[in-house]
Amino acid sequence: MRASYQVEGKTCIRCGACATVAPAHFALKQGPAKALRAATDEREQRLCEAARLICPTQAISKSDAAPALDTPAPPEPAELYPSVLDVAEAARWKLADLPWSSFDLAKATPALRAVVREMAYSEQTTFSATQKFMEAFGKDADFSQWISVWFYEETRHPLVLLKWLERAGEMQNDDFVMKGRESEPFMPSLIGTLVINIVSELVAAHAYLHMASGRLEPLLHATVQKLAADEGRHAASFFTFARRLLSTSRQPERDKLDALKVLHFWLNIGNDVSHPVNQSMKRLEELLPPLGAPPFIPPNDRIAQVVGQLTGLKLDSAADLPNTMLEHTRRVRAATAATAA
Amino acid sequence: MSSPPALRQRLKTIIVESCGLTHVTAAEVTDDEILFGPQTRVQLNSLDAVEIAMNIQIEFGVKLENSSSAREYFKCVGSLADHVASKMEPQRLAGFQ
Repeated sequence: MRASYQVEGKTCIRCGACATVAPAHFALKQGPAKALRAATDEREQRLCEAARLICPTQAISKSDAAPALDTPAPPEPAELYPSVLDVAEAARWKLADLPWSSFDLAKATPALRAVVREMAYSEQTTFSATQKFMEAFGKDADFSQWISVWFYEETRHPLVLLKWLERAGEMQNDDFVMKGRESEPFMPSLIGTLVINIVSELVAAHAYLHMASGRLEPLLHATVQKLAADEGRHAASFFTFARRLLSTSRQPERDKLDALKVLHFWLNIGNDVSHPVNQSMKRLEELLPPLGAPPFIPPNDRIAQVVGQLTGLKLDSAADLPNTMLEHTRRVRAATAATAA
Repeated sequence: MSSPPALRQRLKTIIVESCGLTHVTAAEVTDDEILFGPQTRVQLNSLDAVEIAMNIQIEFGVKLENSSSAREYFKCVGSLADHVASKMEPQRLAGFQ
């Protein structure tokens, strides 16, 4: 088995998701991400496929070209935080990188301001999410260190959106920030928590790019592309830590079932999912039409495929989920019965 | 409640085993106690409901739909058993009479 990949430079937004998920196979230095090594076994292929699927702009494809390196991939590091941080440092943008002087007041319509206000509001929840992550994963030194990076990067999102609103003549006070921080409790499953964050980050990246695809005020256009890149890299980071959690789990099949249940909830019972991204998407459904934007369609098949790469279960599309979940429940039942016997 | 007691008992075992409950046994779960919510004794959550539904499909051949009535029949073992019984093939149901 050998599969080579390539990154289309013009489409890459330098989010670093590929290098986060598969650092032996993709790298982000100067310019667009680059493919380094071919995948030579099933494990490597799953990593490269996950990188391809998580890429927010779908810039990665299989290729017949010879890879840059023909050496075997080094062993995976015991700690993920240093390598995930390395990619984040290479990908991270500065506030000064945004084209602040390009702001066009005439294009900051009331309808657009309402959308940006909603986005800034929903982005505040990373504060309470971080508190809960630290509590739930406090004994995981690797992951809890990375959460500090996630919190830092995510906290810049409402800041730049509020700065955009300021330029449009709208000031928000601390009440807006504090109210936006309110969120629901975490679910009791650690893998479920990571999977719902993979999914929500993928949806957020897709939503920001959806906005950027329309005729948008220039500063906001540049801003949402940066935010999409962060969300894509964060989806990849959660994927990487979820993969490690599964590989060290004492009950991996049960954990995989939890991953499938979360996916089922997101895909089929979306209105009941209390994750902030889901709640924000529902509010945006009402706010986007006045902008003349096409309806937002979440990338459900791609989301299912990502969870498929994480669990190693058959999820070629969202339509596979009911059968896969049923079959995996049978497997878990059989394993439980065997243990009891 | 019109469902057979044996079916209700089997459902209690499925709930306790599939959700990995350790703070309550199948024998302790009553037919009419509320199952879902952090304030309840059984303390099931929405992810548990998905797993219970899968196990019901495997064991009783009944596929529970994601309908608004799901909240109603998932309220307690009695309501769940009545719903499952109403969807089961008669021959299969007869095994619980």
